[in-house]
Amino acid sequence: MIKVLLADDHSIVRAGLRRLVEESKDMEVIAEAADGRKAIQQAHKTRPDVAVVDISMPDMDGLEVISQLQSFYPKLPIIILTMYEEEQYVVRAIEAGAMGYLTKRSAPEQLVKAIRKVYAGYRYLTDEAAELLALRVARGVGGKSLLDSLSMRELQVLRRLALGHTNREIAESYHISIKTVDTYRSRLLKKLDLRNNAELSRFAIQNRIIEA
Amino acid sequence: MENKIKDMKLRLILLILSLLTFLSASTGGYIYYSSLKKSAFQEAERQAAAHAKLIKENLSSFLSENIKPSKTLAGMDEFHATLIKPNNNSLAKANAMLDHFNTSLNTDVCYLMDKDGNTIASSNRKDPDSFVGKNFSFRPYFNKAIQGTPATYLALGVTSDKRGVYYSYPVNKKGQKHPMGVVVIKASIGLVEKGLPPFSDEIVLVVNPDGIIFISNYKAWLFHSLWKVSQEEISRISASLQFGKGPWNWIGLKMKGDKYAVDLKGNQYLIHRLPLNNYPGWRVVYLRNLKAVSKIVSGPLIKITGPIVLTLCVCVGFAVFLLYKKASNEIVQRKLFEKALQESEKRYRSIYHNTPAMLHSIDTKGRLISVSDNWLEVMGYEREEVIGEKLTQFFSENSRNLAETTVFPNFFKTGICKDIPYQFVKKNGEIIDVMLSAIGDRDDKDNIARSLAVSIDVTERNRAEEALKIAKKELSRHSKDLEHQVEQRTKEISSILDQLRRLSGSMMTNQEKERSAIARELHDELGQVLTALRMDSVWLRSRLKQTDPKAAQRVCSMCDLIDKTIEEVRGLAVRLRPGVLDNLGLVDALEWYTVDFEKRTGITCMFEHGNMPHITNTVATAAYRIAQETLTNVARHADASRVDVILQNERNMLKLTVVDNGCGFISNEVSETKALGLVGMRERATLVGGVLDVQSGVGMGTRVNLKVPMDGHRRGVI
Repeated sequence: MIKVLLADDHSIVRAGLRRLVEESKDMEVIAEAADGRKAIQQAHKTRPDVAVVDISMPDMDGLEVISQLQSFYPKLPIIILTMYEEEQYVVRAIEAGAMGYLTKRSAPEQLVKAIRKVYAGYRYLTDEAAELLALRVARGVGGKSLLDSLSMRELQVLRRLALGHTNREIAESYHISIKTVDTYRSRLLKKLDLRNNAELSRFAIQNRIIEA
Repeated sequence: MENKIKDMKLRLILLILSLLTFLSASTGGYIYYSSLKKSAFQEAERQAAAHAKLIKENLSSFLSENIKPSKTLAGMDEFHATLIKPNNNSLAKANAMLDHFNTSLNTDVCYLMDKDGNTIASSNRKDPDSFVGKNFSFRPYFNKAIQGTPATYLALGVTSDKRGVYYSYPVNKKGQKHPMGVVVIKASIGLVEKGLPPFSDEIVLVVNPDGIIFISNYKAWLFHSLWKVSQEEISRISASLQFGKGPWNWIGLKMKGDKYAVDLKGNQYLIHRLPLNNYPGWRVVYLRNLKAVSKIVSGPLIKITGPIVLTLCVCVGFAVFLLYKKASNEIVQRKLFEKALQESEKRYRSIYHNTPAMLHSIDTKGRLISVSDNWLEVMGYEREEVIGEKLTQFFSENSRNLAETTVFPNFFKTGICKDIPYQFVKKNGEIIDVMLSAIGDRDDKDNIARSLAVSIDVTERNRAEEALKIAKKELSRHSKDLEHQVEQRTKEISSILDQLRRLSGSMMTNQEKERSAIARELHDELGQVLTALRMDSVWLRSRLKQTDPKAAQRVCSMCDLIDKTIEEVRGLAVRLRPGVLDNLGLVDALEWYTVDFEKRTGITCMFEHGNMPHITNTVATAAYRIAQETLTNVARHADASRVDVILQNERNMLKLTVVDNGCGFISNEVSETKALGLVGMRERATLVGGVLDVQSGVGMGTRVNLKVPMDGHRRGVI
């Protein structure tokens, strides 16, 4: 049985989540917490296998809870659950040490899957979140000034271009105009002193933005 | 008067000086000249003596040259025969001999006389004035010769009327005691005279023992007497027929001392008298004109020293002239100056009296010695009423005290006083205020002899000043009042402004707070509830899927509805205040917002940021809202295709720049709403201690700059 800790300040949400978890036979909610502090207390008390934490809670927010839990239980997989769908949160959550990330909206369909995955030792991320994380990691490795000078969106476009996506595809996936993509592209070439997409690809591989 | 004496003295000194100069120059010159002259005279005397001696020798030898030929001639036998027996034959022979001698000796005539003195043969026997037959027995030369003594004789020929030198020699027959006759050679004096130096400055005379001039290079003196001759002597000379008929006037020469002589014309001569050889008693007299000697001396001297003396004289003269001129000029100038001084004095007196100011002078005892007309006019007195009176008599009592105790003693010590406030009492008793200034006029001993004072009637001025003072006081009171009021109003206004600002700030803060609260409420409460609802409906759907597909379908659409509602609630909340800003901070918020902006508007929106430290919530809010507002404006008005949002950290200053490539605007043509938007942005910037700078121009896009301290300058706002 996978022992799950649920931390969310909304009781109805907690109730909903509990139901979702307990639907499956191989996991059970062993503790619930209405705020960050209680979540940590419960963790100490119950020693869960997986913690599902709301990112925004009164009295210590989710990110803080993650880092505290991490310091006590480095092997405890944590799934961040959030109302926010902005990708910025994902990165922060992962940086703080979360193994999985879920919006509450997608919880009914994905929570159980996510718990199982993180319990098995894998990350659970959406494609987008995975990409962002990869880029963040790439940028975070050993102070590469050239990469530092790029914004997140530029990194995203760089990665896609390096993977051989067309401008149209990139525009569609990020909901921006083709023209904007082109602007990013020319900006990238200029900033990195490169001439074409082939060189962009080589640069991305060298800097581990994509796998060879 | 004094000056005149000085002038005279100056002139005198000049005169004496020039005179002394002249005197010393001339004395020196004279001494030089006289010493030169003396030596020249000595030289001249020496020369003259030598010359005289030479002439005498010449004359002597000349006048003796035929002595020996006469002896030879007398020795000729032909004459014996002729004298013994004078016939044609012997005469012819004698004559031939005489001719021969006459020609060869180049004499005037040679002739033979018998013992009675009759000429029996002569070389000039064929001439009209032939001597033949003439008796010359009265001649001394005959008498001496007939007595056996040869003789020489100088005389004017009785027959020829020509001067000559006679050489007689007795003709003796051997053994006979008495001569038989006499031969005579007569030579012309003309030749002798020609041999003399030409008459100029030296006169050569040959005079007989009586002083009759027989030979001379000065023709006018011939047959005159050198000295005064007595009547007795004259008759003797006349009788001798030696020198014609006379009258042998005295040439007027007088001896002056031993060596000098003076003629009638006053010409001075250096005189030398030397005996003529073979002519006993005869003398050669040599006269040297002293003038000529002087000339000889002074000539070259003048030639040499003349230019020097002239130059010297000219120089001295010129210097004297210059000095004199200068002195004269000075004198003239001094006179002019004196005149000017007099005039000026007169003018000043006139000015003094006529100046429309109260002028007066007092002596050391404080008595008035002069006053100006204006003084009298103002005071109402006549001049004779005040002159000699004490000045203090016209003072008020206070002024009198002031003057006597303080001002006067001080003034006579320092010689100056300035702006002493006195009160004068007019004749009619009226009192006027004056300001008196004076300077002391000093005498030769530098003591103050009198004052020169000017008094300014300041009665009116004082009154005006008083009035002005009152007016000023009034004015200052009013202005103080006014100032006070203005200050009060300003204070009120600024307090109102401050309140307004605070109000505006707190309004913004409250707005933000409220928005934040509502957003949170919406997002967290409503959102959570909806989420829970969705979970339930999803659960429900999956439950009903098997048993009641229709109901499941219904739940599904319900699910969609819930999703949409969640979306709307989220959008609403984010628009009110993005949770990212509160939860993740400004950088994340802007990153999210720019991406969202790009997505919504299709305008390329680039976000760049440096490494940002912690930013306080207030500053972050202000920056976020300003960026938001700016981007909204860009989307609404700019017609831009690209906008850059740049966040930088510049020395702990947060710098936010939003640049678009749109159409830009002219600041005073901005629509009211947009202007209000700008005002709002500025207000936000100000509230956190920042500065907002908007640059734009038509067709140049817009650049919005925000600079604000990282920690937020003002406390508690927003």
